Amino acid sequence: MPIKLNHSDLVIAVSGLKTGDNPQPGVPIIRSIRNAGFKGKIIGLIYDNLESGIYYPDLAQEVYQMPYPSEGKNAILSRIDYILTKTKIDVLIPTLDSEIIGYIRLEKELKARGIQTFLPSEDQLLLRDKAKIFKTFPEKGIAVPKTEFLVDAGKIFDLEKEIKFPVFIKGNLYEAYQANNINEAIYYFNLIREKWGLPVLAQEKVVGDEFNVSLVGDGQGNILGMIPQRKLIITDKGKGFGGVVINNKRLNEFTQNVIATLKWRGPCELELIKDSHDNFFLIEINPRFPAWIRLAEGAGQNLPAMVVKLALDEEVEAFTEYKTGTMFIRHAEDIIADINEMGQLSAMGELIRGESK
Amino acid sequence: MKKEKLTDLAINQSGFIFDPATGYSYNANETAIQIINQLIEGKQVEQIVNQLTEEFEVTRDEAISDVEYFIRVLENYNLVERSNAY
Repeated sequence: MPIKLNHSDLVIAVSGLKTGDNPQPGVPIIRSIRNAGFKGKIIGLIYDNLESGIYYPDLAQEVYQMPYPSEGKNAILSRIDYILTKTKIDVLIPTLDSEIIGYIRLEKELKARGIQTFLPSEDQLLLRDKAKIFKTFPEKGIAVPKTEFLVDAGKIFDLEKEIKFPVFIKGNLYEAYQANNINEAIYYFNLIREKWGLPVLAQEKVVGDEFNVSLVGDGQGNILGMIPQRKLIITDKGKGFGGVVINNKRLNEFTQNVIATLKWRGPCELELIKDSHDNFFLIEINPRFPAWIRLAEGAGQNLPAMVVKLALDEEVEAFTEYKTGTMFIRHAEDIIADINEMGQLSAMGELIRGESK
Repeated sequence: MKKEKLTDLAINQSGFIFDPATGYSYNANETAIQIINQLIEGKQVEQIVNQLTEEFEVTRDEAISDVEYFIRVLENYNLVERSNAY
């Protein structure tokens, strides 16, 4: 059954409105919520006044600049308190890896202000951390590529004894580069350390097809809806710009095993690789919806709309079916806007467009 | 020959084949679709060869060679598995 959101007086806040070459999930999440019939107000929470979704017609009625997650939870809370003097917020959907932990830690304070979220616990979040993933899962029979933890450049010289090249050198939150030898590994280690800090990880490359699964967990180990896809188009940054919904029994079982292990609550995205012997490996778990989440709506599971209902503590029925063969291709388009909108955001840190939709 | 995977394929009339388990898609001509459908129906290679020689102007050797080659293509795409050649 398609999910309907008939809440006309509800206000939903969503972060991550950037699209372009490294798209964030906010815009597709809002579009799926709208496509569930939502007529209430949408608020965009942004970090940069050039996030393209700000200017997308009829997407967000109000937009507020947020402090960076690194400024700490008090800064976030005080900004939210300011926003609450302008508008209420009923549901908040954070969509960026770096901000999830802050909103988890603020759950109680947000609730006291009437703001609902549907997020994992801090423990669940940390179990899937890139630095922990290779400890959490192999003992549960879930294969993870061999991974080494790099805390200084000296460790890289031992890599060849532990892992076969090529390896991926990865930041704990963002970015990954393929290194074919020790020299390249040292270069990428320094690049990532400078940008994102330690730890840096070295992960053995598994050759095979890349699959992604977007899902919503109930927090008890069950999956309330999931859409698996195989990437059809991969950009030079490794982003999937096209994909097709698949139905693979072994992948479904693998995913269920991961979620049962984590008892994940809320949305997430699993990145998997299948090697030439049909073995699946868990590469990463992103603690939020992916930027391709509209594919879920297209395949018959409007997962963002489901999360709104779950945040409101409304009853939902788990999705059991989806349309295999549904595909997406990302399409870049120019948005035309008045520079005064950007001006208002730069000067005031907010953009209020009047009546809610 | 193990051909369970063939039964899961979505085959449309224009010859476009989609494998829902892997997300791979293929284009096949009319004869190839005919062979796949016969394999799905459980026909043996010999029966398929007989049918091809009746329908097309090909020698038995040519038909055997073409069917063998096509099954190898299917094996290569991991759509059928078999241990012995025809």
